[in-house]
Amino acid sequence: MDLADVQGSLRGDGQAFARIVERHQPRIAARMWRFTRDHYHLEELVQEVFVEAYVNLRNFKGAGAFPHWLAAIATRVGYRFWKRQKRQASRTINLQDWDLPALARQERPDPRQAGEAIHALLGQLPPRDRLVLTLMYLEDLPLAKVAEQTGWSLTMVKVQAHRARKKLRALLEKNGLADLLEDREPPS
Amino acid sequence: MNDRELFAKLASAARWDSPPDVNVTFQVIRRVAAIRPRAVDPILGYFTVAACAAAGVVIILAVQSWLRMQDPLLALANTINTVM
Repeated sequence: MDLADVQGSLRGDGQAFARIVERHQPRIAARMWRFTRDHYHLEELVQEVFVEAYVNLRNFKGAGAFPHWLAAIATRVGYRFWKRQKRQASRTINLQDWDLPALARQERPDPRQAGEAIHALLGQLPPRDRLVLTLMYLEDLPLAKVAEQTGWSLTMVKVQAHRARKKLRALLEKNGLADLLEDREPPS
Repeated sequence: MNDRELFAKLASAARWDSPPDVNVTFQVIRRVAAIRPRAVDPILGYFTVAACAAAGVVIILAVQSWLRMQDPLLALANTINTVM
């Protein structure tokens, strides 16, 4: 179905690409929701993903699944968005708004609250660390898939994940979660 | 609970956090239509080909004249004369 619409789009059939957008936008919106909590930015990012997909449509060889190819584009677009935001210092999120210890103690944290809190927490990290943790924990992707989506080597993903977790640990401790953290690594 | 478990707990809850409804089909199609290369107007195409052909003839004549006369001014005059 996707392949036929891709070929139709390449022949200039606007309806074929509209069908692709209709079919995949809920999944792409869910992915981009990891990158922003703002509705306006969310729509912008989803649009950007599909426009970039259209421009690169000739590069889709049909060997892999179209949703995976699209997800890799979404990851690139989201990562670029974070890097742009990082340059705009005004966009910092205040972690004090989130009572992380209370949220973590709940048996089943509310998804919306947990999503907001995780977004605020990861927003304190550099984009590369944030990306690897988002894909591993929020998207629940195995390392090989993270490598595929980011275009990094498997070793690089492992190294990046290790560094990101170290920074995350420091961040959790800094934000009042130290009492929840047991079996800490000995100080080096 | 260690840091990984704690983060994983929050992340697994956040996984169920669904985004607001998004429908950007119209905007995407509009943006894509702006990117799509437009077909050349056939009339404009014929004029362009004719203009290029005429320019080519003038250049060839000018070069030929120049080679024969070795005087650029005379060659130019001769070319203009030929074209007129």
